[in-house]
Amino acid sequence: MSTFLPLLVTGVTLGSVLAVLSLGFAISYWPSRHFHFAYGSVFICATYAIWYVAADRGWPLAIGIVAGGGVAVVVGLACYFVFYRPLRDEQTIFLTSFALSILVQNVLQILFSANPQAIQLPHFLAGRAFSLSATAPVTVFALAEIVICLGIWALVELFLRRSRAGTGLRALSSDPFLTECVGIESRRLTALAYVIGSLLATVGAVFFALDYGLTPDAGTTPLFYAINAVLIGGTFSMTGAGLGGLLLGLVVNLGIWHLPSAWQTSIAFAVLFIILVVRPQGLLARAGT
Amino acid sequence: MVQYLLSLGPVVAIYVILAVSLNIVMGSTGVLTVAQAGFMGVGAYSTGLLTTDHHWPLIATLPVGWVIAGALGALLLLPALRIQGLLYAVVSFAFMVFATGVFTNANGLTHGALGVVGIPFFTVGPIHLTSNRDYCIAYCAIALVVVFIYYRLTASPLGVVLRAVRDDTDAAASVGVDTVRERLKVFVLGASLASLSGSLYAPLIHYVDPTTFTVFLSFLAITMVVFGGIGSVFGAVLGATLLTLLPDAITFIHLPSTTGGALAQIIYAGAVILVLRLRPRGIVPERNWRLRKRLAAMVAARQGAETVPQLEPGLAAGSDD
Repeated sequence: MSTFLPLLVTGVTLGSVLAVLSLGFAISYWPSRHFHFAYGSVFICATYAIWYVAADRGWPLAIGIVAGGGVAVVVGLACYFVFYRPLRDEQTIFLTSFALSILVQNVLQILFSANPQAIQLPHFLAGRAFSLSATAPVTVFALAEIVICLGIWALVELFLRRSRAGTGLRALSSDPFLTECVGIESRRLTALAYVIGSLLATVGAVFFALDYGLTPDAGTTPLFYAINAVLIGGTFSMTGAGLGGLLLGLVVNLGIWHLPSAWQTSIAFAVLFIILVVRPQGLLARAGT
Repeated sequence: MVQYLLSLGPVVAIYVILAVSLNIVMGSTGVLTVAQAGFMGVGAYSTGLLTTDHHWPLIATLPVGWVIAGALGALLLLPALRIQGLLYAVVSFAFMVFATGVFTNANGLTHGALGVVGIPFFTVGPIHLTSNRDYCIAYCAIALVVVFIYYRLTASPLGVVLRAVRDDTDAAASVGVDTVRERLKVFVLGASLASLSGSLYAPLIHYVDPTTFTVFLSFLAITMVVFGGIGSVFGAVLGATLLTLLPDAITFIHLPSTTGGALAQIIYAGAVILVLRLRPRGIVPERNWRLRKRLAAMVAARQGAETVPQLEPGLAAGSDD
């Protein structure tokens, strides 16, 4: 049990962050069916903005986070308006988005070099909050990560279920044609979804950057987990995406209880593979979708 | 300069085979996949490991790669059958991350991050390749054979059936095509062919390591196919040739190697975005004059026989929406 509890702690922490990241992907994917592969670019641009302002310039972290959010929204909206909207079919959008993510990664590499960077964790976050056992301390930072991410998830759920725009987005997910028929305009709603998705990516970026540091290709792994989680979670279901993220964070950490940690991504693939073969519509999809 | 061009020849040939393997999957089933680099890695590792550690003759290592890659391709068909179109790209992406994980981490099997070193020269029976010129001739010959077979395949009955499965799976199934079996053939063939390109790569570079066979190599292959035209035979060849020569053209202007590599990637990505926007069907779009001619002949024969009057126009109108 000496390694189980620490793995559980990191699993819940990673799971909470992944829940937010997956939600950010799903919120634009299901309504628009644009496979926003460059979501990873939004994420990594936000990360570099935070690093540049907070670490390289030495300004407070809060300003860095605001800058990161701003950059993320600009990149997200640019993807939508400049690159995806003029294109018609899903496959072209996917390939364009894939190309964009490679473009962004290499531009970042030229601008900031491929060397790993780090952001110093503020002192008040580094201490220990409480301990599950002698070997499983929970830092203030980890606790903040879990609470903030789950809180944001709850807010997004509230938005999707209670607000007009949120209902519109869910309607677009299940039937874009009928939604337009009843006079809901999809363009502005989708743009809103991209803004929210980019902000959620920023939240994930903050925690990933503080936890693991950053390199120009650091957007790939979070993107990989988020896409996995969206597929695991279920067709058209944004709640499912969040749940998928939480589950995936837990599984890949508990999975390395007896395995080298390098196998985490392989575990995620195995989970996705099994779920797609057994239940291809995903965990939370309603029957008939 | 001549030596330099000769050294590029085999690389172009390998990429042509990789692009054709991808085009078989994408062009014949309409499924977008980024798994080809994984299959190429399977071939490269099979050949590399067996010829160095176990001193197998090269020719015996090829089928090993085909079988392993083919089996993995068949395995990947399972999710492909159950999910809608584009999501398969995601599954293949996940597979690539998995494959890179195995190449990097399975130290006992693949030597991990160290890679396989000292892979011997290409030797099959009396043929022993040592110089750039030998490699250039042999590899280009192999690539030509692959392209020719692929060209024949697109016009063959199998090619017609596959196109039918791609364009309308349900309609193909309704006229008695076993769509699962046809797609299985494509997945296995595409994976095996990618494995062949890997098996050729290993004795050319003499070194195989996990950083080569990543999702970015798959993207390069997709770029080549999209550039030339998905499903187009000569498009794949043209795309592979152009895009292999491009980064080498960039290295002629003397940039620091890190910037040069990144710049090449940026140009690739930018080119793909532009081509997709301006010519979404590629520079040499798929077309098949031979097939069209034969279909026209079939229609004419039917109308002449007058037992099946006016069937074709009705079908054409029905498939128009």
